[in-house]
Amino acid sequence: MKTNKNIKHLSKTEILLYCDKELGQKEMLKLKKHIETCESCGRLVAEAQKFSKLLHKAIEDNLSTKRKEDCRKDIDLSAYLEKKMTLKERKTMEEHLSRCNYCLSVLAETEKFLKGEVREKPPLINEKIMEVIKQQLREKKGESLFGKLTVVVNNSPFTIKKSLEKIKNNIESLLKNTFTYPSPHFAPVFGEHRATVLNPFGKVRYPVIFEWMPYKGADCYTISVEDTDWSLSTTKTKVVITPQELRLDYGKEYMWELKVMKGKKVIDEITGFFTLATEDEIKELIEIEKQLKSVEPEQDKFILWAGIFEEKGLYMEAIEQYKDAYSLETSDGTAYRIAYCYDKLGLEELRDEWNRKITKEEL
Amino acid sequence: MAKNDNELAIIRVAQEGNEAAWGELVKRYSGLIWSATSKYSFSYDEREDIAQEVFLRLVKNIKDYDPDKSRFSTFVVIITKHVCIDRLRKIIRNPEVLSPDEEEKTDIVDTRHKDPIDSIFEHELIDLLNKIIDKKLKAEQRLLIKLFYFEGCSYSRISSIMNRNEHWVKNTIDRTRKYLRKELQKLKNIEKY
Repeated sequence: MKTNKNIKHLSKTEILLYCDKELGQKEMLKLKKHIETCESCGRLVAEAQKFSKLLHKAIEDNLSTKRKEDCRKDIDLSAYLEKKMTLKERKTMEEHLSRCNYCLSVLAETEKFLKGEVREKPPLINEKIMEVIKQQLREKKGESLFGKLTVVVNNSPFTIKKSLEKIKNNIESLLKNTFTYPSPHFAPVFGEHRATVLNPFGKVRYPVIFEWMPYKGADCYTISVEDTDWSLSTTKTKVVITPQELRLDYGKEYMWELKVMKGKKVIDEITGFFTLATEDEIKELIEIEKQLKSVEPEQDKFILWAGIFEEKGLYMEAIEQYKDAYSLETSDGTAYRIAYCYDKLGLEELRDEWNRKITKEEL
Repeated sequence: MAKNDNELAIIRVAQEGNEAAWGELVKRYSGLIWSATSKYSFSYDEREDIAQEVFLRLVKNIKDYDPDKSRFSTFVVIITKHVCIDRLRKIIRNPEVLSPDEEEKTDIVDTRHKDPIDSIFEHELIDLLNKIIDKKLKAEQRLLIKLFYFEGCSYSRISSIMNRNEHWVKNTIDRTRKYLRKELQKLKNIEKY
């Protein structure tokens, strides 16, 4: 290499741009030719390149790609890229980016992609994605319900807290899986047409509601409860009975009977069993009711109440709450819970009716 | 992606957990997400997996989305790149799932240390340089050289990311490098660097 004094040497800017490969192809070639023949320019370029190489190694060595505690939220990275930050916010962001390889890569890759705008037609993946999203939404909802229940329990008086803690643990999976429970596959039951009683079943509270399906051709109905001398004749299909009318022992199981009358003739009869909840259970439910008043939205309140009733074995009351929730938003999970409660009560036809509302074979 | 007036309404309803709104977002954005996963040589299945993961992350973080801060599409691509980079890191952390490409890279790293004496000397310099970079540079300078050397960004890309003009990028990178060289010389007192 010879130093030719007649040749104009490269400017500092030219050397800078050459080393940083910031020139067009033609320009790069032109400069390269000069560098190859000019010793002084060649030396300057070699020095700059050597330092750049060292710097490159240093930076590769230095950067940790681990996600850190103070890594930025996606929306903040997005706002930085969209230049929607105040100067102060930008500064804080740049301080982080300058030390965090992880966020830096995300940012640089995003910018590169958005500038490039290479679009590919996606394969048919939307349906699968939606399945995953639905599942996630259900879980999220369960989490939020459980969070609300936790608040209710934490705010409850000391006397019932312990018992509430137990409910909480027991219905945790129910709430979190309310919408993902595997659907039961009961075979539908086809019975002969006969009287169907709806209520009371299982564990109940005062007022005791007696309810049944209208029976074709009936004049009136007579209900009675074994071990008591109480009975009632009515043309309605639902009666609400207070403790003043019918005194029952707490915690005891009773059998009740419905007679379908035509004139003086009994054309059908059916029996059912129920138990009055214990005094402690009733007290507890009154307390929970107070706490649940503040839960919003209404739908969450229904589901929480239903979950608690279900856990306490008051299936009829649970069903009522689930139905209220279902009327606000139809959901396979809620329909499943209703079917489940009916199954617990042995009311197969109602169980099957609700099972049929479940649209999915397998959730 | 067509800028749709009702898009904000859809996002708002999706933020409340509405399934139908999510269905619409999937329809509109799965293509963008799919495209953003293309350059990493992920398999078809992996890309499908990533697309699902992106949406799960979206479901989790959509409450953060604020239309005053960013377009939704940018937000979506940021999340996609996050998921892609997490995946790549997982691959690098578990060598048994290394693809042939990655193995080649490891070879390159090995050859770098061929001459032990030279590399010890170089290592000292690298440590010193890193100390200077960490402690003495301004954040914007540090960010700039990291974008240039680590991300391999051109001046114009850096200018677009950092929202400064190219002139600023050119001058700052030049000044920063000169400064680093000077500081390194001071510390090491070595003429040659």
